[in-house]
Amino acid sequence: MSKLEIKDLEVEVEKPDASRIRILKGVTLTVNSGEVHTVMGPNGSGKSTLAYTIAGHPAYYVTGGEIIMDGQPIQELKADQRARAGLFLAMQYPVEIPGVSVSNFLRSAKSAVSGEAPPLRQWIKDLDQAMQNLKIAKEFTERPINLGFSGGEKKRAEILQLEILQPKIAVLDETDSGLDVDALKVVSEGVNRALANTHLGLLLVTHYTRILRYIKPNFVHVFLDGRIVESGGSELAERLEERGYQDYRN
Amino acid sequence: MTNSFLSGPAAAQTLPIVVTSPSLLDDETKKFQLEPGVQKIHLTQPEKVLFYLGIINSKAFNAVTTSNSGVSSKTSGTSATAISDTHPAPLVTEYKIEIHLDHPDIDLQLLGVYLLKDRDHARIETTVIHNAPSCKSRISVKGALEGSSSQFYWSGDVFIGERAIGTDTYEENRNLLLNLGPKVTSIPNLEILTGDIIAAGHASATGQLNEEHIFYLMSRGLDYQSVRKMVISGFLNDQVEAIGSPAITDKFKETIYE
Repeated sequence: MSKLEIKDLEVEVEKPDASRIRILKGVTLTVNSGEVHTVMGPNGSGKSTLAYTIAGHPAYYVTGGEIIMDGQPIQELKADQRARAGLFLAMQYPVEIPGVSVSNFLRSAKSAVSGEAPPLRQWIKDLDQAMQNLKIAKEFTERPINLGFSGGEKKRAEILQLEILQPKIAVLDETDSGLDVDALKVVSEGVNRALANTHLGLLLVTHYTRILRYIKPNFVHVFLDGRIVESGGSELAERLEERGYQDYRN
Repeated sequence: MTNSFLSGPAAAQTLPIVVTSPSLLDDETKKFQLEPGVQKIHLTQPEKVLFYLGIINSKAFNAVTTSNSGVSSKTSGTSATAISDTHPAPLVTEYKIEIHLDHPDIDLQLLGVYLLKDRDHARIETTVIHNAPSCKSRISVKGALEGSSSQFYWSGDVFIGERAIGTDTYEENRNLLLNLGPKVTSIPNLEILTGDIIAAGHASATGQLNEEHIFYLMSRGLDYQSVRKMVISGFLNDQVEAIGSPAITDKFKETIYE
């Protein structure tokens, strides 16, 4: 069992003029293994800031509160240390990295998070299977990371990493955005496999409800202006689908 | 204008002059490694030729080097021996390469790769002169610098003479600065005396490690040093592969990874 606890988290980011702006204004949230939490909110509410802050992006300054993974505060840890502690972030805009092949990168990353290089035969088998499941072509692994990938391929590549690296807690930052229906299904199936196979705890950041047709949340949190303004079950998502965020505006 | 361009660099006398005369034996690309110094080369056959060079200071590229302040105060002072007591001698190297395309249908590649550290200085001047119709040239120099005060200079002249109709040329220089100490000077230059050409382009870019690349890779569990090596070799892999010299490939890998 793993547990990610976010307590009264306050976060600032630096603007181009070097002044700082407060984005997260006290967020409290606990994700346990096997749970699916959805954070829903309009553009600019701070959802991605939450995702990046959990993963340890250096541009986000924690000015208050705590991030605790399995009882250990992690907000001072670097991104790689958090990943090795069992965290994973699927990014909204995965970056393209010239010259670094997917296969080389994935095997290095797997070795880093599991503490040892996976035996080669098993590795090839696992990777092949994971790629087949996500309908990713074989030659894909010899291409540089995300370079020239379509939007859908990038998102599938993120979920491939999720399945291969087997984190304890994963944050998916708008993994559903920019996906057509077929790709959304493939990606959701991947996430559901990870949930079933590894007892993953999931924090799903989105502003659409359509991914919730495929991935069933236990908890829905409405995120507005840097805070969770309401939490509930999946019925909350249905209400948001109907009424939008207008109920929270005043 | 033509004469002054062809007369060669004025400072050439102090450097050894090497003349390479590639011979045409088959259809494959002829490969030649260029040595430091002045090289004046006339190509007189319709052939595919690759000239390459590698400038790699192989001593522990990724090792922690002496602090900036310590080294800079010494270099601005006097004693060079005092420096070499505590540091390996810096690499100082210079190439002046002038290649004349004197026959139609020559396909030239001129590729360079470098890794500089500490107080290394490297200077590469490339001059490619299209004297004949329908020749193609590709000039590319790429590298990375770290250390207290390493310096890299590139100037690339491409000259397209009046008779060189149908020329297709492109030159580029890309540099990766790994910390705040190093300096790069990059001067691409194109002179065109006929408008009847296919293409003539140049590019120069000097940048730092991309923080988003670093974050992405670190967020998958890889530590900073591994990520840095991955990104540097990613930046230069294509170039090293295009050069295809086992000696340079080995030295490059050894330098980045050991």
